Amino acid sequence: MTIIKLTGIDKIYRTKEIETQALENVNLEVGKGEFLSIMGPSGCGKSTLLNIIGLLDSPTNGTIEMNGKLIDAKMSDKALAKFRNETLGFVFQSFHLIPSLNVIDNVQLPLIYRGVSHKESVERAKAVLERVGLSHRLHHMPSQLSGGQCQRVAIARAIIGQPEIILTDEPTGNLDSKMGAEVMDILHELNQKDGCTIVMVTHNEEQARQTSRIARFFDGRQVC
Amino acid sequence: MNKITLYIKQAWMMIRQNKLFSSIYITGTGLSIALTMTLFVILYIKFAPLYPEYKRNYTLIINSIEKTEKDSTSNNYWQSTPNFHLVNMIRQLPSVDAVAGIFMGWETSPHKDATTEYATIPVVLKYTNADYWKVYDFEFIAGKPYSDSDVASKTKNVVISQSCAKHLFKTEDITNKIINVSGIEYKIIGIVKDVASVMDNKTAADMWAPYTTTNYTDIEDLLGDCELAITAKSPDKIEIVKSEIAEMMHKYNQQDKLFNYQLLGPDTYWASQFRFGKILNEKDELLKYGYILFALLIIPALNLSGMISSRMNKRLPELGIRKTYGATNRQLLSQILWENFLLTIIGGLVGIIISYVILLCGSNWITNILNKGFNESIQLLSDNLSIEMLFNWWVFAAVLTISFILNIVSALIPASISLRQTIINSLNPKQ
Repeated sequence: MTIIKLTGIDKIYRTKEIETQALENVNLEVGKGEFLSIMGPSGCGKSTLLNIIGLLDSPTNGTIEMNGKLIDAKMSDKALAKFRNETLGFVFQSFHLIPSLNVIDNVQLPLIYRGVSHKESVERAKAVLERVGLSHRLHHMPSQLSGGQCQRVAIARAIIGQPEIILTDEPTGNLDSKMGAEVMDILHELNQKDGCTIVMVTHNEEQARQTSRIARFFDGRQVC
Repeated sequence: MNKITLYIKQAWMMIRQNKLFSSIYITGTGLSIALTMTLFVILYIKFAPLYPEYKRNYTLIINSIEKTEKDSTSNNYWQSTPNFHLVNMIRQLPSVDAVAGIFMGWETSPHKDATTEYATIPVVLKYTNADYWKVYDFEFIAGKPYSDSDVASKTKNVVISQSCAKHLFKTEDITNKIINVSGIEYKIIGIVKDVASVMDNKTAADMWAPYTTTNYTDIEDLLGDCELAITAKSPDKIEIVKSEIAEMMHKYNQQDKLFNYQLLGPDTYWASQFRFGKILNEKDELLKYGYILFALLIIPALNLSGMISSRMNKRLPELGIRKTYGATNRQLLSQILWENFLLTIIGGLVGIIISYVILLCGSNWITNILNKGFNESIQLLSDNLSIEMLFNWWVFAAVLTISFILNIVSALIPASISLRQTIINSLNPKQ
């Protein structure tokens, strides 16, 4: 069953002087429960594609379907926010934790915007932090954590809302190999045990080979 | 923990993490609010019902009267304060409750010397009629005020202030004692709680005596040496009193064959503060206060807005993360305003403290601002501002409102601009 379907996606960045085509006629389907790696050299449009799948950016042309729902370019800010909140989880290379919030508050973020009660969101945050091995760091600030710990907090934040799709952009890019392996183990567990669909942008061939499929890009086009 | 609690918690964390920004912001806000607060307190003292002028809201004031000749070829013209004859005429009107007549002749200025066996001190003595004690709500600590019959019989009774009593007798148990005021002996019949010197010059004094005990001579004319404060029988009868006074003056002018008299008033207490001779221009005077308030708010608001704008740039990634996880622009705008409101409220509290320091240290110049025509040395009047002047809901409500306006003006535009950025640009502002 297809959970993500991209059809004829183009992305063109325009300035007054130049036009840059970041993606050209991308057609991609991702099955439910699949772990897809997107690979390619720098500047080939991998992250742009991930941003479009994550509804963080809009395509110049083409259509996006997720969970059988057509994502209309005219959807309101509120509707897009609700869709992201309920369906998608994000893990970024640079963690993107909020520095002024402690670990448990960072993790609760998606549930706050979903309107979940404080008591329930705290319980769920503790549960996901325990799952990523950080139950002893609930009240630490991000600046007090190592890179690996920050990424585990980011993963906890991504999964607390039980999204069907997790999008991750070079999740181990800022980590040493040991920490990177730990993070990849967690992602595989989420894919295999929880059935999460994962789309991962990576430069790491070895990590990509461990996933169920690799989509390769070059100059904005999917080459295989 | 709801969203607002979380916003405030985060704002508190940011204050601690960005000490320099926070302290500059709080100080800037505090100074702006302090100056505005000082202005508000001064206006509050000037206009609000305060001891002993609790009836300001329904008091009418007449300080001047004009007299012109009916002969159209004559240009003779007189302007003066009215006299006690007019006081007694207005007292007869059906909707009038009381008319205080305060003698403003040269004998009230400069101060007089009050002498007892213990001390001789300079005092400010006001000469009034008996209705004075009805118009103004003095708190009698001992004794009672003088009556109409005391005034009529020119009985030398005097009411003195609490501070005056302490200075002159070292005790407050002094009713029926005799005091010598610049050569005239008065019997003390009452002691009242002190009036702050920042109050109106109709009430701020050390002693009060019947106007008939001075060299005042009543004449048939309406011009004299007295100012009037009139209270209606109820607050809603103010306009009726005004029309009764107008009708009374119309009849008086019809009966007088030689002269026309025109009152410069009666003004409400509020309006009387804006009268300069014939000119009563409340709007222009209020506009002046409006301009001052605008300047006190807009200049810091622009500075604070610049600071917030710079901080919003630093916070762009955070806004991007929040949007990524489901926050709408509206929710984020609300968050930013709440966070900023906390900073502004802290600034407001700092501002209140600074303004109290300004007000308490500067009560002398505030007295000068509020009582422009009252330059005699007031030796005994308390310069200290009372608690009811400084701590009241109106002033605190004003601070809260100002904080709110400052918050909106300074944060709304930078926040709106930052929120217009796409999520990608917010997450990676350097790209």
